[in-house]
Amino acid sequence: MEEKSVEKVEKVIEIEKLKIKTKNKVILDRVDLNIFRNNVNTIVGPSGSGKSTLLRSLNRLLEMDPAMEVTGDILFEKRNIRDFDPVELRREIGLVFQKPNPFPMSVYDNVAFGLRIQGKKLKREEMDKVIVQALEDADLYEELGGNLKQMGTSLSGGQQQRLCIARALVLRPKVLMLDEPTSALDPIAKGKIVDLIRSLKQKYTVVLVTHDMNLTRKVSDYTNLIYDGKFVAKGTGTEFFESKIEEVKDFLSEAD
Amino acid sequence: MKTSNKFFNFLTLLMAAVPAVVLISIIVFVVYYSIPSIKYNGISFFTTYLWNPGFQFQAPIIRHGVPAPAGSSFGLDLFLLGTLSTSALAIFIAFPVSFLVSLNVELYLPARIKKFVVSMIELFAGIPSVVYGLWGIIVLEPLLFNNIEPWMAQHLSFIPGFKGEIYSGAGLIASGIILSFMITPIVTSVIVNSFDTVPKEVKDGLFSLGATKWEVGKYLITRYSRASTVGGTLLGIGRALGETMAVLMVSGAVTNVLPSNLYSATNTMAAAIASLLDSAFTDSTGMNLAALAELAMVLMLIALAASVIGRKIAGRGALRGYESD
Repeated sequence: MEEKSVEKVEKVIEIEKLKIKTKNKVILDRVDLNIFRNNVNTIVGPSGSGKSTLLRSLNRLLEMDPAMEVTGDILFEKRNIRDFDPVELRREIGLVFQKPNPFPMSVYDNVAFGLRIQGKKLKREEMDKVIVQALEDADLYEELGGNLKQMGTSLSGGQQQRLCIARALVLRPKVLMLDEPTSALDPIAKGKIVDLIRSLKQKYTVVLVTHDMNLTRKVSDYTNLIYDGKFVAKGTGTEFFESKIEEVKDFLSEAD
Repeated sequence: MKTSNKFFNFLTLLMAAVPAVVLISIIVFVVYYSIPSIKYNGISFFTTYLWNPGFQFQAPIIRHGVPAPAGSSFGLDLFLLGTLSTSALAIFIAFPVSFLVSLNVELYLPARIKKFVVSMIELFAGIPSVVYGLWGIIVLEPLLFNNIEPWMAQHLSFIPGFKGEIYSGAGLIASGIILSFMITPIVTSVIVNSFDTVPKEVKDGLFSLGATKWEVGKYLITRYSRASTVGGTLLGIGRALGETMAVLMVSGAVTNVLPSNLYSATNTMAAAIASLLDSAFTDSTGMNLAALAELAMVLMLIALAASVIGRKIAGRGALRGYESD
């Protein structure tokens, strides 16, 4: 993987001194990290280290849970996310979950859902076009053979996951966050997601949460380790894997 | 050990059979007692509204082989109309309230307050109906009579049924309002429970696509909780149909006078059974009692149907069409 100078690439999201806790437990503490535009930004760490919580804080989904206390700053395109309307922010920062969650409706309606709730009045042909585009971007269109009337819930796990990605892409988010997108998938479906993530970064900034180090090796441009609720290390593709930091070495030996 | 186990099995089987046995015996009892009335009244029981106990000090007449007081006639239309209209009004009020309360509980309230509100709603369901009835007489009826109904008669008289004389405050409106208080907790708790069965991923997915709380609520109601909402509403209707005491207290308990407008006194099948039972026992032919039994049979069939259909729809699951894996 080519070396990159961190400073030259534009930061889309800057996280400063982020702390997330509940009444009894600190989930994340003093997390400082940056998300770089048109790159795959990976957040790795053992299960339960707070990676998913971090993602949910970036689009302010976390605040739906009143038990969570968030301090510190998160800047999206230099603006504090607290100054955004959460609904607006979630349209800019898409999130695809670990467990595919298509709605019980057709593939077409699944993808159109986000547009419809935005009240976008598109003509039928225009709507068709953006939906096909999103499904193509998510590498699903060809596989479905153009049958968009089938239920989203009847697709295979890997297809459902890509449908959920298409559903997020149709809103043209600036950032696409993927939470453990391969954990529930078989090797072939996994392979497809790997190719997809590589192609997505041409158009989008990708934030990838995973504990799959194979996936990280294959796609990650910037890798960040969260260990025991703390942000520990970051590095570009190869840098990270050669790190001398104790926690990184520990984590890599455990993960492999 | 083995014997005690056998005994225990037998005991559980016996206990499990009790509800079915009781239900069947009630049905048998009601049908059995109705037979003289079914013979005597025939189809006119369903096509007339006059409920006349007859002259009990004259010699009984015999029709279709059964004795009855002279001049007696029994028709359920007034009570049926009262039952259906008060229940309809109750659900008309209770449904939107339940809908909004459950949306609010689900999407806007913090978890701690949510628990409190839900338990408050359940408490409401536990208030004895006679208390509602008393409140209806003391507070609601004067309010309707002095303030609300005169206003309605004056300003809404262009709507059919809203025009005309105001009686005492007791009647259809008072009964509908009281009933709505009693069924709102049922409908609300069914809807709230159905929201809890929606997978968290779905709610998260909706919010992540930029849906507002209102949009999420609308989606949950129309897609996931549709069955439960309909089912809960039917359960509520089942309750309203059979409610006796509170309605007896605020309906005006009228017989033989059909309502002329919305403010008229009314009566329901359940309230009529309770209020007419006393005098029915003085009828030596037993026909008055038989007619009330037939009324009870019809009421039971309607309420059972609403309850069974409600349970069936509510139980069909909020997750229809959604397989998580």
